[in-house]
Amino acid sequence: MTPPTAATRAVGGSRSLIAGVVLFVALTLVNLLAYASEPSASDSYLKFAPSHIALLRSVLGGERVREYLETPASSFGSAFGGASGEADTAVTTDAPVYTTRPSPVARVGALYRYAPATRQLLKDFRLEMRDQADESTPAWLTVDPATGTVTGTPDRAGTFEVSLIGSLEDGRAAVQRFTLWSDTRFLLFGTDDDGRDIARGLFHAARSTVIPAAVAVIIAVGLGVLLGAVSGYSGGVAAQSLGGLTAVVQSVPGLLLIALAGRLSEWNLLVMMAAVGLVMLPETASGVRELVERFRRRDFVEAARELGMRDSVILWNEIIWHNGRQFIASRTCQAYTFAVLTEVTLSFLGLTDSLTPSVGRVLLVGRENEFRATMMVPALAYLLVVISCFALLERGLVLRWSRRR
Amino acid sequence: MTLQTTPVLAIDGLVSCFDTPSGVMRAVDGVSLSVQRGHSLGIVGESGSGKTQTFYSVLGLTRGLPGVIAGAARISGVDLLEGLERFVARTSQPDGTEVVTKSPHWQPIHEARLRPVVGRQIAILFQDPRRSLIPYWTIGRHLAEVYQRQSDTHSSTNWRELAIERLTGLGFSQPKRVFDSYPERLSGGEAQRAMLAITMAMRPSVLIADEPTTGLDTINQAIALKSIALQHRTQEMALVLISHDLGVVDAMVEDVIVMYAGRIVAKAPAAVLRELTDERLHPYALELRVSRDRRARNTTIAASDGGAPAPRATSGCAFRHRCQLRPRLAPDVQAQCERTAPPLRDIEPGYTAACWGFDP
Amino acid sequence: MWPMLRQGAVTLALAVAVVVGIVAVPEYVGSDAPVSLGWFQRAALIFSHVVRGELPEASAITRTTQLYRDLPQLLTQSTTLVIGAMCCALVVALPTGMATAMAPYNARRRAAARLLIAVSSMPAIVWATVLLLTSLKLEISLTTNARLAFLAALATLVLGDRLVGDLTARVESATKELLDEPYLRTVRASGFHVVRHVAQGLVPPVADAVASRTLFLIGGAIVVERLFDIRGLGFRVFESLEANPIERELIVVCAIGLVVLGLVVRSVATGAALLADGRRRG
Repeated sequence: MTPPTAATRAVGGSRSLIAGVVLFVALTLVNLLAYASEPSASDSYLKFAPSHIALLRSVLGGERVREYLETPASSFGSAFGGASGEADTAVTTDAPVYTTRPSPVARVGALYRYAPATRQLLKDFRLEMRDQADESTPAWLTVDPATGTVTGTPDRAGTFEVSLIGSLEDGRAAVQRFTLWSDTRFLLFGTDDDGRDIARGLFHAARSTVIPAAVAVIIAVGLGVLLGAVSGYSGGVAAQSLGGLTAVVQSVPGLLLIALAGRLSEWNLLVMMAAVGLVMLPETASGVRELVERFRRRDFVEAARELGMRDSVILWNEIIWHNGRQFIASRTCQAYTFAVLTEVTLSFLGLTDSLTPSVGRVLLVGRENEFRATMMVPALAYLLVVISCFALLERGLVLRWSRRR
Repeated sequence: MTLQTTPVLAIDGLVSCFDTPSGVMRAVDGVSLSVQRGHSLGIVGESGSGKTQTFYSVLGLTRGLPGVIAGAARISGVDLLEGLERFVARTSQPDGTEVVTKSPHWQPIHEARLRPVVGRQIAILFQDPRRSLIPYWTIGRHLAEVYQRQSDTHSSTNWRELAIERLTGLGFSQPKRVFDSYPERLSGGEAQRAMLAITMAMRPSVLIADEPTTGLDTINQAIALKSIALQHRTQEMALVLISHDLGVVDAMVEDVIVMYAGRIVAKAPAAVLRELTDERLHPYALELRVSRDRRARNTTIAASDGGAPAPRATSGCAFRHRCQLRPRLAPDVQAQCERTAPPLRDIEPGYTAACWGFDP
Repeated sequence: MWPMLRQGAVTLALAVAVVVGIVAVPEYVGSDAPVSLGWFQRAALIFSHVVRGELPEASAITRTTQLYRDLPQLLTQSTTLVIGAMCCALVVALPTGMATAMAPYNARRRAAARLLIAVSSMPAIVWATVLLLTSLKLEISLTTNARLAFLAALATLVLGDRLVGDLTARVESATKELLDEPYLRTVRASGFHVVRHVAQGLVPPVADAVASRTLFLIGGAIVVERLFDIRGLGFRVFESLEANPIERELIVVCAIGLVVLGLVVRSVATGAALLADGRRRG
């Protein structure tokens, strides 16, 4: 196999670079559009949710799906007591009978189907349904008594409270009560648990990924290069502060530091990104510092000084730009990727504010719903696009700027 | 020199080549040699002449590929390379180059054959002894590992005394200190003798000393050579001494082989070689002799030492570009130098050389 | 030996300062109320009782024991996860890297190594999702310990910031360097075991790689604990973070516990390097 020549490397680099730049521009545009269409994050949350969500959240206390176990006596009582059928025993989450959750949104004119899976054998399924708006009992949803599969085609928009009731062997009834919304919207990827449109959610999630990550990158690389260069060139205060900062940041696992900073600032994205930047700073700075120290004593520095070039010019042009740009480009792309992934990881872990749209949140909801593909796949695809964007940029810049010996 | 007994080491038509960025290079190109028990052979040539690769490639010590592709290598009559040609495929390209591929089966079979031989019947004394010894083992540990392999010196009290005795025999005034030292604590000369002790402990039938004097000062060189000569005499083994310095070799060995560009260019007993006049000597051997004499007189060393060999000529004599004899030859002989590589021919009784410039 | 301990002590002190600083500062800055890390209050309470010559109140002590009763279990779970992850990484990386370097023209081995590195480089979040899916399916059939081990094994492949990929690459390059060393030629020529010596020579660089990656490994372990509901120190930190009000003292204790765990791992690695090459470091 012939080793890659400088020419082939340059070509490969150009292609990657172009692809990377295209992706980056696209992502930034999406991000800006998201900001433009809705300046406030929490407003955007409301914007892509059905208008009744906020109200229902307060009414239901955030639980869209709940499960009950009813003894025969109380269900007899509820027939007299009215439609609200309060249960004897609310099921603890340790041993729920139903292991699946129904999808929250049905589209008007399209078939809605929910096939429940249960831990124990249930039979004689029946359905109770109530329109929240006018307390009527619509009939468009039916259940198969043997399997419990719920099917139907909504004829109008609205919010419904549905109870799926199956009988256990010991005579008790296992009830799964959930809220169902029927809507006229066409949703590309479906909705999450609160009826929020996933596609819109991802669109607005861009605001949490690309542009705030720039803050982290500016700190990590911008400040890092500055600090590293100054401490490598002239030592002194800069070197000591860098050493101190490195020791501090590397004493505690980075993710922990960022999570703490985030939580204690009430998940302010800028504070989190600043923390990410600080965690990445020591590596970049020490790399630049090493570079500068290595070149500081070379002959051409002396020659340049004698020619009358100012120290700062020597430092930036000769040393850093010519020799360090590959490293700096590489670190910038890595910092960007790390910042984005950290934010996604923290929201995937369920730590961030649930009102802020984020890719990680979408993934989290998908995970809670037994990995519903419509939620997971678009989010993962978006994530991979972001990551490949920076990987391509990095590869492109590194190849283009690799030194020709 | 009738060979009634089986030579303890016999190499026959060995070809060994390596992939380099500029193509396949033949490090060893049809080398045949043999040593009898109790006898010694010296191999002289500059770096790149193939003198070391001849033995390294047979004993599985090279890292390059493909390695040995043809030939036989017999240790006490047992051929290490027997039957392995069927795993080598050679195809000629239209531009005259040859592509060699070796099946992955070659390696394990060869390694299995080497296992009872290497470190037992054959031992190698490497150059740069301080770096060739295992850095985190003391000399004593090296010796322990060797002795523990041998069934008769297995008891722990015996071998230690044996080892100290051996170290004393090699001229160490403080054998205990050397025994407990790590290689980096020893001087170059001490390390060389320590390595000699370790290789001798293996009780080999053949000792291959690869450039034992490199990196040592003259006094230590003399000591090292004396120690090797002593071991050779007392242990009744075969000795192969490899060097780039003719001066080191011709005082110590019975037979001398001169190698250039992977081929043997001259072969003679040392005594015969000494008596040959400059005109009868192969031109490369002459270069070596001249540089040896210059060194002895402390004048500048000739350029032939350590120069990189020219890229392997595909045809013709590899030495023709440097040859001092060639300009003095008749034009048709010069043309022959260009066309065909000369075979080894008997020039005088006992002396064979590969050169078109001599009448046999 | 001593420089290592000293450095460990410095790191620990710094970690305590950082964590306490982050956890305590907001409240301190924002209000007039003093820093409410529980120990100080309780210690102050006990101290004030003792000073007055009375027995300290039982409630202070019971509160402490109540809060910390989980601690041994948290510690064991976290330790198992981290050590298990490291061992799995080594078990996978060492043979792959060594085998690839020792047979450089064996295309299959090289491809396996490249695949391993690529797999390990995928963003953790992607693989975390895959792992969760897998673990869900297997949940029913495994006991708790087996499940823990299984998850640790899987988690190392992807979390810990490309731990396995980096280790494999490092082992491969270190093995290549080693094989070029003169003394390995002597090993071969003397009939000693090559693999044994290669392994011994690999301990210092591998230990260095492990020591430098410990922080990332701990970070990854925290994520794994959270994702798979393993009740370890990291899990507890997040639980305390999500509690209302934040249980600051537990955050500090568990975070410091994780830091200590990291320091222990790093010391073990350095110690192994010392053992393997006593002449160089001893």
